[in-house]
Amino acid sequence: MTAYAATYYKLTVDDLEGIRQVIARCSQTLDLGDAEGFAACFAEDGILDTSAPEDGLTGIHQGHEELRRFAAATKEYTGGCVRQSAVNIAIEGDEATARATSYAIVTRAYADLSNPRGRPSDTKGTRAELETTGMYFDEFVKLDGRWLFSRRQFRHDGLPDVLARVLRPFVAGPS
Amino acid sequence: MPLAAEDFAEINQLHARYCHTVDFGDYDGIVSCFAPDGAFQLRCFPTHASNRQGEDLRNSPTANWSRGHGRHTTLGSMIDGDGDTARSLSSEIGSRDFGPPIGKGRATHSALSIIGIYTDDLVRIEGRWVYAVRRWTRYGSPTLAEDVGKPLEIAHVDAGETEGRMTALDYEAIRQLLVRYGYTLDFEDYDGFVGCFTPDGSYHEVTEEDDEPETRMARGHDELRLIAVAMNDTPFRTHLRRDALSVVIEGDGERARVSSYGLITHDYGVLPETTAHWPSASANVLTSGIFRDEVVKMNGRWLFSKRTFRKDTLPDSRDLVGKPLNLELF
Repeated sequence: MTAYAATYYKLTVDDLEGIRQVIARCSQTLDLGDAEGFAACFAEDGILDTSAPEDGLTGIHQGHEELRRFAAATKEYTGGCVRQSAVNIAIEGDEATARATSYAIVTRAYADLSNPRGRPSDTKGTRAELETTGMYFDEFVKLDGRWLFSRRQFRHDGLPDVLARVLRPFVAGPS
Repeated sequence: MPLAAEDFAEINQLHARYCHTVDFGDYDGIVSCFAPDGAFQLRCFPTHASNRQGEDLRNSPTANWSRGHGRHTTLGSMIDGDGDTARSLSSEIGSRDFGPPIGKGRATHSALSIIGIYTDDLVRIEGRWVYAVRRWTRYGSPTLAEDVGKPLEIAHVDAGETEGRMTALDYEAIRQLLVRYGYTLDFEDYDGFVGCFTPDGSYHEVTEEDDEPETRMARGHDELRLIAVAMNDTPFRTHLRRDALSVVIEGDGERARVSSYGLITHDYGVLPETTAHWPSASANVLTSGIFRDEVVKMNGRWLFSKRTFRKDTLPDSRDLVGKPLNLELF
């Protein structure tokens, strides 16, 4: 068996599922403005480190109180119309900690006349656009049987942290 | 021997790692995803078909194109097989970024460029799943159009007996049900579509028509078949793709609630063969929404008993904002 297979075989399928579920829950709680639910996806001292450029969003947010503030600020910017999903989730880990690298797909839905980019619409009513793409570099910890983020890093595609991985062997989690 | 939860998990991990290694030029990593005699095949147009094997897998034009800026993204997969071979069908989108954020409030400029389908034959070698053949077919190509109206061959996941809790196999079966729903609808396999529902299963959606909310409802397989045909009565027919992302599942092993994002993309139709190989953009996002489902396990198979959908920005979706996430149906 190759090394790469062995690394995530230390995780059980229940562990992998627990991690996938907390990743999905993190997206939905943030997008739908559930600040408490979003913070609960993180360990007490969990960290979110994001390249989002907006005031109140950019940088590092540590601990549940700061994470709740981040979620509240996000709701103000997105109005509940942005959908962020992690896909291509590659996970490695052991019984107590894990790491994952995934792609972020971010879309935004517009009611027809509120498209701030002023792009012509070929359909009436609501439509959606690809807002941005990026990458998540995650670290997890298992506490009382639940997988939680100990650190989540988001970087927009095209930034140095992402491009530094070009032509290097794949690594799950932060490099 | 049917596939176990570990097999599904490893194959899903393989799909993710393939995309990462291709997009970042990890050429050893790409090759490691394949059997020693494994092959990658491009199936778009007869004149653009290709087949790469062995060391030639390193000469991936896609990897050379990506170089950290291109993204191959697997949105969802269906998998079946026996102990040592498997097959998989996955939806894929391709995107590319055009540089870092510029100024406050500006996100990275990324564009969706293409959508396609991976169909894979997999083999287990020394305990590890790898691709025997990985094929990618562009949406809108004549090759893929041949699959419209044909029954989906990949079987439902047999999640086995109820264990009084959600098992990893239950989660996988439910996620694959969501993929199956989209594929059978997009490819007009209406028997397969109604087979995603219990006999008295229902579907309820609110979208909009001419800026006015429009409600569609169906209960039972006969009505569900009619509504599926109606949903494909659109200028984008056979060019739409419906995917489910960020799938949150809660249940007890017999019944579960599911919340997911619906993402509908479309291709721009068949381009002239001479320009269709690597077009700069041939697809786009059409719309998004939220699915809320109730699913039940019947004879080891997870099926929709109730499926509800609300297009984003419509009142029911907006009403979810700022409240604790729950998985209640619309």
